[in-house]
Amino acid sequence: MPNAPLPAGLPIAADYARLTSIWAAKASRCPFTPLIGLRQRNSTTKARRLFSRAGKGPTTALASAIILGMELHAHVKLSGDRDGEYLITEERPDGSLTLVPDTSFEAIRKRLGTEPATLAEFEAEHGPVQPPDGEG
Amino acid sequence: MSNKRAGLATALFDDAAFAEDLSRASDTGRQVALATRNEYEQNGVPVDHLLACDEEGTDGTQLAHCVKVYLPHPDGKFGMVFRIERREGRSLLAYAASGVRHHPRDSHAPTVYEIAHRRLHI
Repeated sequence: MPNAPLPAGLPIAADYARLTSIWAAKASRCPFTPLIGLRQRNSTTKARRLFSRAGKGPTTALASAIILGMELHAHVKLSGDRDGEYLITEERPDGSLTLVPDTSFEAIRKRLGTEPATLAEFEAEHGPVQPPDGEG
Repeated sequence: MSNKRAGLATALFDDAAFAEDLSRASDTGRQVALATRNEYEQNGVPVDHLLACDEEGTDGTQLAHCVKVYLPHPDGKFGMVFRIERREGRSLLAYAASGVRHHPRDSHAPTVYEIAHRRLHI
């Protein structure tokens, strides 16, 4: 993994492939996809830490590209014998695909048949919950 | 969908998300999560066990309109996060994530808050 900034035009998928290959080698400690959606600064820090453990020294640009790449799983919707929202995590040369269920909350919401509500609405119906404790 | 008893809220679990969280849980974490889901699906979630999540956490997570429980109650090392949702005119708790509240400093494993944040903001 070079320390130099990413060359312009380097496919993000290539970075993702490199990251997943590192994860595969470290399967027992695979972080899955904890970086997706986290704020950029925090994500970059985590990506740096991850690569540092893998004996690599990523640049901020590379870490950012990886985070972007991780968000690029193709989404598919199946209908037939099996229905639902899935993500493609691997496409082999023979065209076969590896699918995992889409566990984004948007997909969860569709499966559960719910719509967003607010904490205030919940408390009006069920009574107050304890206030935030600053942990998360 | 109605409250089974006063002070209890309905909880809905998504099998795929729950299975994903179990797959990275320790044996203890798995047992706690399974027992909790079973209890909540049968009897509901005690509202007085719920804490509101931070809308903007110091770890970068954003969990507005989410609540959490610590497992085992009241201050176990595991947590479960729910998003407030509505179905058929009633508010309820939709499972967002379960996992460890705090990892060792050098760990890169996601906390329960990071898992919930990722699912909510993809």
